[in-house]
Amino acid sequence: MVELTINGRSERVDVEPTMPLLWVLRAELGLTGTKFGCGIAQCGACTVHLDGVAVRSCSLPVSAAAGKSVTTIEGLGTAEEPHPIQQAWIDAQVPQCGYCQPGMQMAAVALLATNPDPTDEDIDRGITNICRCGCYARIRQAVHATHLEG
Amino acid sequence: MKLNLSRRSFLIAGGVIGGGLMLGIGGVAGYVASHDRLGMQRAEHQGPGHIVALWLRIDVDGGVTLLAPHTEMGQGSQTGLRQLAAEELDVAWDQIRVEQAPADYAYATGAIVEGFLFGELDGWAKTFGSGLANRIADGMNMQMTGGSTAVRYTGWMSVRTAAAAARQMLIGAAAASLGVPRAELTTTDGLVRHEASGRTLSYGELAADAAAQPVPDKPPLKDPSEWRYVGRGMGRFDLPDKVFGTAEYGIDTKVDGMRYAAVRQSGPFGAEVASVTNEAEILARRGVEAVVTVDNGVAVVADNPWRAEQAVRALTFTVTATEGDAVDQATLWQRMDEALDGSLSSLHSEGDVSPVEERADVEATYRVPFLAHAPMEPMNCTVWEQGGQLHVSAGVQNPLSTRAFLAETSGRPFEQVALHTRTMGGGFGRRAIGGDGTARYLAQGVQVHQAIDKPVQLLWSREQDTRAGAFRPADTAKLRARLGSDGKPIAWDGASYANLNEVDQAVPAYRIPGVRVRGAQADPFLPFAFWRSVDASSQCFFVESFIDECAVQAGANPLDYRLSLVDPADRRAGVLQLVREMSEFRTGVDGRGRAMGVALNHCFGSYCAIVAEVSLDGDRPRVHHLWIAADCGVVVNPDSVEAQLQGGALYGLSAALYGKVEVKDGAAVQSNFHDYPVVRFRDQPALHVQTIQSAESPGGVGELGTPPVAPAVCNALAVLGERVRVLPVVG
Repeated sequence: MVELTINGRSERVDVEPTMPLLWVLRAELGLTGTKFGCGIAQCGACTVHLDGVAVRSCSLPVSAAAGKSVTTIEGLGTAEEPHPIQQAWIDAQVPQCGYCQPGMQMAAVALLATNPDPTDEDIDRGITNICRCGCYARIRQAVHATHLEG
Repeated sequence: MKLNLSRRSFLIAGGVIGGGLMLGIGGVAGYVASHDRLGMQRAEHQGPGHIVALWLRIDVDGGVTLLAPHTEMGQGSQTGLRQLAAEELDVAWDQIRVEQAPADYAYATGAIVEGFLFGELDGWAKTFGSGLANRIADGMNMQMTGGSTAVRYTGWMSVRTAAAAARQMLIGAAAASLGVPRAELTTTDGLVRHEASGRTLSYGELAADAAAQPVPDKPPLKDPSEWRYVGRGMGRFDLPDKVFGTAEYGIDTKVDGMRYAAVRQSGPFGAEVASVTNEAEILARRGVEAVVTVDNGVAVVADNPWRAEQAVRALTFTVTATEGDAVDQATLWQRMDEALDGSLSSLHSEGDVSPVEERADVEATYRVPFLAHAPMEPMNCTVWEQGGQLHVSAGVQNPLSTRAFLAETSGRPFEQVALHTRTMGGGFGRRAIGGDGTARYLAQGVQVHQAIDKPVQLLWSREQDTRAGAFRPADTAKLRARLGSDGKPIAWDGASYANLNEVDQAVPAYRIPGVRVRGAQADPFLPFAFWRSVDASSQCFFVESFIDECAVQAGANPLDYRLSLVDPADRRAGVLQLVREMSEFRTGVDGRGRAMGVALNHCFGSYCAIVAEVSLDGDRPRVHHLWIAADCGVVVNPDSVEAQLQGGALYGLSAALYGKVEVKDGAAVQSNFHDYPVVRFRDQPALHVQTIQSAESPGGVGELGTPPVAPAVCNALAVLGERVRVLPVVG
């Protein structure tokens, strides 16, 4: 039994400790906002926050999340209460197919938490997620336009 | 022509044929000419609201629903269709919403067939053309989102006219109801208004009567000067869900009691799994329920996708021999070279090519590899039985064909198959289902479901997605040219191996007195799929690299050289001039070690010229800028157009720099993003996009930015001293 805190909620899941957090989220807890893209931490579609730090959940065994606070895209914000980055994403019309964007936003928020005013080079080095639709220019624009509260 | 009409559609069609006979139009011609697509949509419609005109339902509260036969894969064309409908129908933006049209014949995209086959027809011929086009669309199960056609054909030719017709019908209904002449009525934001008396009637109140009005054949269309939606960057309605992570892709489908299936390919294409040798051990694993042999592979079913995937990787099995299982990449290149030295089909011939047979001044052989599509969402489908129907949920580009395929592969009648079309995590042509290669994951899903008789989601790993699917063909092209004393080509002789769908892409767009294009029209071995821009993705590299080599031989500025070979009034000249201004095009290597290359393409009704600025960091190319000049006629949504041109160009850049799937022992080698790299932030060039203001009918945009990138980059590298004739550039 693994005890987790996901978006502020306690969850207990009866799975192997080696099951990647991604598949616990998607298939055991029904949180499908976090996406599967590659399974080898190459693409970042599965990015979530573990105690505020961006991690690729496809390659993180669920046991490593035990006792820590996990934030997924569902916990970042909603249509009623969007996170500033989500408003910036909508204002800049960032997504094309949208599949990589939950992970992309999670990676961007983690970057902004440590670097509130990143340069383009900071973004290039700090966000290595893949977007096959090629939204990189608008992502950069939206990151520059985002000011985290507090 | 296969015509699997639903019973209702058959009755309507029968009634139409009967009616046609009564009017004296007999036989097949009458059936074709009097094809009543609107009648089919009305007959199919159940529930509230009225189908007033093609694709358009108006509800009693005045809400309008556009039933869009095109699917969403990030290109935003459903929003473009909404703009065209809102414009001509004259409603407020939030009065109209878009719904996915059913995967039914009533919603087949005849306008696309019409666009491709008939161009511009007049009068009776056009009526006949539309009817025939709709019939052909039915027969081809045509409900395709591909070929850059959603806005330029369905939107521009069909939705716009239907919305204008609906507005006329609403006016007609209001005139009858108010007892006033039509000419005294105007429309605004979902209301018909009689100025003189101040009386208004809403579209909702009028819908039922409007649907009974005669459908005008040529309703007046709004003058562009009055457009309030078309030409503006109207926001995509589907974007918030994609930002908040609430959009439902195929992979997010949840059905009660659903299991998960993971697949491993047999190995070589064409080989089947003969026997599984450790089944008992695999079945003993936690959560594993079944091992099922499927087309070209084997699946493991479990209660969690990761458990299924780990289990299928641990399977051991034997495979059948297949004639391709010793084929490797070297074999394929050799086959191509032999074919190109042998007898070839003539694809295009004009003027006299004998000068190049006497002497070739420029000669080159180019190669491009197989390419995978690598959409972010790997292939998947969810299959379950419910209410006497086989249900399948998947993101596909062509729902109607997919539904027909599912019927065929499951052995169920078309009526008993319900396809739930999802928004796609990338399509790029991979999700246009047609042929074994593209459809294999769907066939596998049906096979697993049949074996376990429980709801199941079949999900391919990234490795499966890269290796086990369908590909942009590898190709080899040999080109020769003879130059005149002024350095311009006087004879051009080209030949390539892979089957061409659009021969035009292999024909140089330049004024050359003698041109011959030949081909082996052969199948390069791996299963085929349309890959963003299709033939243009390879042929533009061949043609635009070679014309550049001719320019180099002539000692000419490559951009001026191209301009000298096109008519100044040609739209090609327009994009070349624009990209020259945008890039301040220069020859040679500058003080920072940077050089420029240019390439031009005409595909899917639009024109595009791209200049790349490149430098070399050791032997690694760095693309600093891409200037993209496009002429796509009327720009319906400038925001979408910019996004598609940026995205299309980056898709082409990934392919140019890195994209390569090789064959070994009859199987694809590359598997994931570590060995099939794609462009990331760090590879980003600065992107500059401009479109030419034009009143021409819209051309396609989704694929337009892709073809010129590889040749533009390679033409720049040539200036830096490295002519690249074999892609990808790196590795």
